Amino acid sequence: MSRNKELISKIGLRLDGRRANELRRIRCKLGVFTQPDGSAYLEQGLTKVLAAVYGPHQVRGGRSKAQHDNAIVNCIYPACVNAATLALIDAGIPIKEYVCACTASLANNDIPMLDISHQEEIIGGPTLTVAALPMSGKIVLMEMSQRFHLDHLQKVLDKALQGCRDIKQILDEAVRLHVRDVGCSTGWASTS
Amino acid sequence: MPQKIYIRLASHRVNTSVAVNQRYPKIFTPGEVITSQNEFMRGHGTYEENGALKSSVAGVREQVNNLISVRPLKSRYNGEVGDVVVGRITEVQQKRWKVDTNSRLDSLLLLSSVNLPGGELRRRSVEDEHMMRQYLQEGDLISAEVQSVYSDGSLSLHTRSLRYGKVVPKQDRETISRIRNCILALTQSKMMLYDTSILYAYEESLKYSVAELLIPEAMVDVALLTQQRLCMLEIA
Repeated sequence: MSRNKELISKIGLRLDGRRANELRRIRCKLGVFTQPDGSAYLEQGLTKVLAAVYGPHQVRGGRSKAQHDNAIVNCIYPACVNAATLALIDAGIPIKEYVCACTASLANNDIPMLDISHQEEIIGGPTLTVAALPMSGKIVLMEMSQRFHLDHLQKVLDKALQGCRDIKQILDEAVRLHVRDVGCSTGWASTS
Repeated sequence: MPQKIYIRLASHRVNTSVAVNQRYPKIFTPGEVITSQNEFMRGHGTYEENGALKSSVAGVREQVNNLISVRPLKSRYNGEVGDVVVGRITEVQQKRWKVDTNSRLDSLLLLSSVNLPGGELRRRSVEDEHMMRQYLQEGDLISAEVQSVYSDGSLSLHTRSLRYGKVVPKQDRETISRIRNCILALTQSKMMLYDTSILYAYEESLKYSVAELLIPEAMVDVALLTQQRLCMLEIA
């Protein structure tokens, strides 16, 4: 755990110059493709994700597989969850609220830090990944890469949820901007 | 003849937005509370949680008496009776075809709602059922009219007119492609598609060749000229 100590320097900066509770830069754009029903591009630090939504459409091949009120989205990185949320919103598919994912870890065995970069993940300690509904505070998924002491869990979890709320703010702003832009161009006319 | 190829950097991308109107209505995003009073009924795009009416899509609010709904800017095609649609046959079944019309569920074209070749009106016999694939097979493109909407939202189509039926894309192909490219130009700039806008775009596009209409600058040019003519129309 000695290497762990260097994750946050004495003046409180991390390896990439962020503070403990700072997210990586998020840039996103909706409606990047024309062919799918919905699409989104999201950059979170150096992670770049493109997501596309096709549907809803008739179940192809075997009606027995049809599920009427749920869908499964597989994601590898937390940023993928955020991109998938944006793409679903762009497709006009009803969802309860934003689903945001964020990671948090423990630096210097004491300080919780937010949004772990790949570099920090390699040299650092345990990483907690949380996907949540930020408005109601419900947790959709929680995953850990290693064990750490139970006493630390609450503060790391709180930090990750705070990150989810911050990400939701950023995504919400992007959605509003996109809807406004498209709406002004179409004259807010009915498209359905 | 070698074709000219245009390649550009992402940083030189053309901004396709023609948003001019600065005033906009309130926008709701998923999870946002629309109202906490419970005298309202929930419509499409909304749900109820803890006594509050919340939005489930990103869009603008619409209210009819007590019914509140949120309309997303983009969604799959919701058909209405009388619409003329172009669809692709996906499946041949007994006495009916399944047609993909880009709506949530596949549409149906009943054997009894097509004009059989030869033009005679008679009962559909077993032979007709066997001949269905000869008439329309998987992958064929058809134009049809919406006859009725089922309770689950899927559409029933009919082609009981000489205007409808299998689309034959041989004649006037250049005109078709030009209109297609004009529509692409308009949609790229997020402009509304209707007869006048497409007609104007078509007229403004005549100074370009059909292939040139795929260049982003030309597309924005056509969209802008169309936008201006539409504005003129509104003033006059």
